[in-house]
Amino acid sequence: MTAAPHVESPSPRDWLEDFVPGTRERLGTISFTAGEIVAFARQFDPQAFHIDAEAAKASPFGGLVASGWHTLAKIMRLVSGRSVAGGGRGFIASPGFEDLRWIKPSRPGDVFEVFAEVISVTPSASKPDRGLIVQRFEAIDAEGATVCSLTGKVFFKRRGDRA
Amino acid sequence: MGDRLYFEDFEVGGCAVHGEKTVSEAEIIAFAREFDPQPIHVDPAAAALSPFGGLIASGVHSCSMMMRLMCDGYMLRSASRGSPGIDEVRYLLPVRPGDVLRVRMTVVDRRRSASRPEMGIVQARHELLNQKDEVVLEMTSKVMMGCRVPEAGA
Repeated sequence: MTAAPHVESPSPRDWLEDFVPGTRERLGTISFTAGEIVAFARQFDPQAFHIDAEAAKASPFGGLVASGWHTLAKIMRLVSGRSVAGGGRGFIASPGFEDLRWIKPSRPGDVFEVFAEVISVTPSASKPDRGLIVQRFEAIDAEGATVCSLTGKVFFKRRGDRA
Repeated sequence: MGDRLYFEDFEVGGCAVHGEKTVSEAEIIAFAREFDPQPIHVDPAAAALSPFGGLIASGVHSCSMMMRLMCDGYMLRSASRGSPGIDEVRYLLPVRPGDVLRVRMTVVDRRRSASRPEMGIVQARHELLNQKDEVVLEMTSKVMMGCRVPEAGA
């Protein structure tokens, strides 16, 4: 695990300057019910081990597991919520993400803590009012093992002279 | 099923387009209210004033819709054993209400698993296309795929 300083309560993120490289913050928890897992997967990822508890028992997972996209969506809810809570004035858009790892499956009843570490903040060379933030997001289970992680990228405007 | 797809069926350079899926405003808002409640995804009036000029789908929603196109296109009739992750997703253009999406899958590379002779790893590029044939999202990823004929090495 990283030795980066870590802030316990999520603070709102409104502008580029609110992201400090090297800081690590707990965003909150995500949890899964069987009903949620099946409902999401019926819409987006109807593989048997995501929608059929009986079939899932015979699968390599040995039981119902959430779609990896469902786990990602729940992580993104915490990330997005932090920006919206800050007023969302600085948020522009995300150009994408890298290195998404589904290390362990999410099962009904699972509760994971989600952490965000700011890797870099790079002012735009062509557009001085904004910059690119790169963060590593991790969902961690009760045993301390990482179950899912990804490197997210997002453009934010600079606060500049704004109050 | 006789037409089940196995590792051997995913030849490097092979390319296929699957779908389609029409995106509604209600779907965009419902997904984003649950998972990504930025104003550009949930509030048509606020989105109209943004640089996007209107409501756009959350990136994770676009990924999820692409996954459904992949499932219906080939994955549900394949010997897929799931994916260890995604190398990269690039959001290239917004997905808007009324867009009609398809997915183009290209096999970039493949290899047999060294440790598990019954499966192989297929590296693929998936491009989400809109009704103008523009690539709105590009994803590179690996899928573990069961082999029709298990064999050691190769």
